[in-house]
Amino acid sequence: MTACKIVHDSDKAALDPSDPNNFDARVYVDAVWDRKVVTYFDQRAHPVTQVLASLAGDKDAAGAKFGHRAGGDGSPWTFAVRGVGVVKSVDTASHHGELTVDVAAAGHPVAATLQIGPVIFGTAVRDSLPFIAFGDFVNQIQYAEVSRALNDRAAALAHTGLRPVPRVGSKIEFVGAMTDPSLTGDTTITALRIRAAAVSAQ
Amino acid sequence: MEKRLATYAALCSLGLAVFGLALPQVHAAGKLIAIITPSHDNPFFASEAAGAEARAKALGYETLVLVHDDDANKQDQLIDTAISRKAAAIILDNAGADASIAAVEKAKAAGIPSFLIDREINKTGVAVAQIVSNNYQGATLGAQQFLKDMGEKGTYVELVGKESDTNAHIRSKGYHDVLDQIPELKLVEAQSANWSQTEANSKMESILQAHPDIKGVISGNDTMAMGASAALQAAGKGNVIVVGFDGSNDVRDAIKSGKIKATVLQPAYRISQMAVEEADAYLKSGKANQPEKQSIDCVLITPANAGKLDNFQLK
Repeated sequence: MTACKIVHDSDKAALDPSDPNNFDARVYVDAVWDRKVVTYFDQRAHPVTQVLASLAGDKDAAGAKFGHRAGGDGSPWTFAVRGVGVVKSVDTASHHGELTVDVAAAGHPVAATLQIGPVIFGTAVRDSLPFIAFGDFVNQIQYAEVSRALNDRAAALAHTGLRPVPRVGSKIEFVGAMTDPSLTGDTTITALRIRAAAVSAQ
Repeated sequence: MEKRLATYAALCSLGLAVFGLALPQVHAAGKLIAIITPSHDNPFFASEAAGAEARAKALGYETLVLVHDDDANKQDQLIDTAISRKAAAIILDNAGADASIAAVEKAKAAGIPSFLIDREINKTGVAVAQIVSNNYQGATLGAQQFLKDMGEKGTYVELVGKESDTNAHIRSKGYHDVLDQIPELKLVEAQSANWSQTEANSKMESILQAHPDIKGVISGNDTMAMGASAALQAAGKGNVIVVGFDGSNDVRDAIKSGKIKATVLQPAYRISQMAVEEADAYLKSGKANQPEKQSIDCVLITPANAGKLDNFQLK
């Protein structure tokens, strides 16, 4: 997977979400990944502890302040989050790799699961981005393909932080996308960035 | 926004009389909401029609409940009926993503706003709202549970829905986006049974002739899952893992008795109520209070929560 892609004029149709015959989700995602997606997460991710604390109160107020709703009032709030956590377990053997961490929230630790791929479940990355709207696409198919392409890029980027794989008990920093955890009872974050925590990150 | 301005400009150029017709307030006094869906033989469509009807009546509307039987010509006639009855709004679960565009355009030209539920059309800016289940999210949930029940390995069959319905493709895509990444899982047959229980039953019977040792069946909806399950039971293969999609009471009961492992609830009743509420708000204010394209998340149903499911709602 290349870090950036030169878009030729002939690829313009592939970038148009209202043109279902020529649209190519991977070309589309490649074109926005570095410039818009990673930038958005790096600049706009809120501390996960702050988001979780806020969600425990007025959910819609928390969502409006820190998150985004991709499909109108009936769809869940989704958040770009960052945090620091102590690694509790690492599973890189499963196709659906996961890394569980404890993040310190208001004095007591909260368990969060970071999805690290290669198989990523859900559409949290896409849904947390306000510039990718369902209404821009002809139908669910193209919209879903964009989610899949974003998940693949997220897993690939997160993977660069897994060499070497963090040890249990070590401290890591992460940036990722999170769907309102009250819906499933689990705090699951699709990771975009993982790295060993800098000492100053305490 | 540009699109909306262009539409208004186009209407203006046609003259004031036509422009006046396009304003919803003109028909608001008519107070009739037409509810058009596929056949109620499938409890999913019966439930969404019931949800829309109950909400419309509660808001003081009269209702006209019609079925198009997945026939685009019949749907076209029903739209004509809604127009001649001067319906204030149409709640529509349509008969095909491409074939239905003209019908919705015709209603719009007659000044009747359409609120689409369950299925999309391949054009935006024609209906006021298109509210669908998050079929992709739901399908990935179903596939994850299927993967778990299969023990991440073995051979399986996929039953696909109706070709003309975007939902058939998107659910299949959701399944494959999860299952294709698992090398130990092998798809031996994928066939369309057109959402039909009887067709799924006969297709499953013949698939079993060619592949007697399959381990699982993943289905694009619940009626096909019921048809497949019956064929498997009849062949003495009750241990084959079956996963459906919809959240019908039939499949709920099959999950409770162990014949089917899981399904994915589409909140059909709620979606149709939302459509009526949005129609009501539109008729009162003259503008939509939600984006046109809306998607509502689905919920995985397993033995753990099947008891709470009734008529496409979790109690």
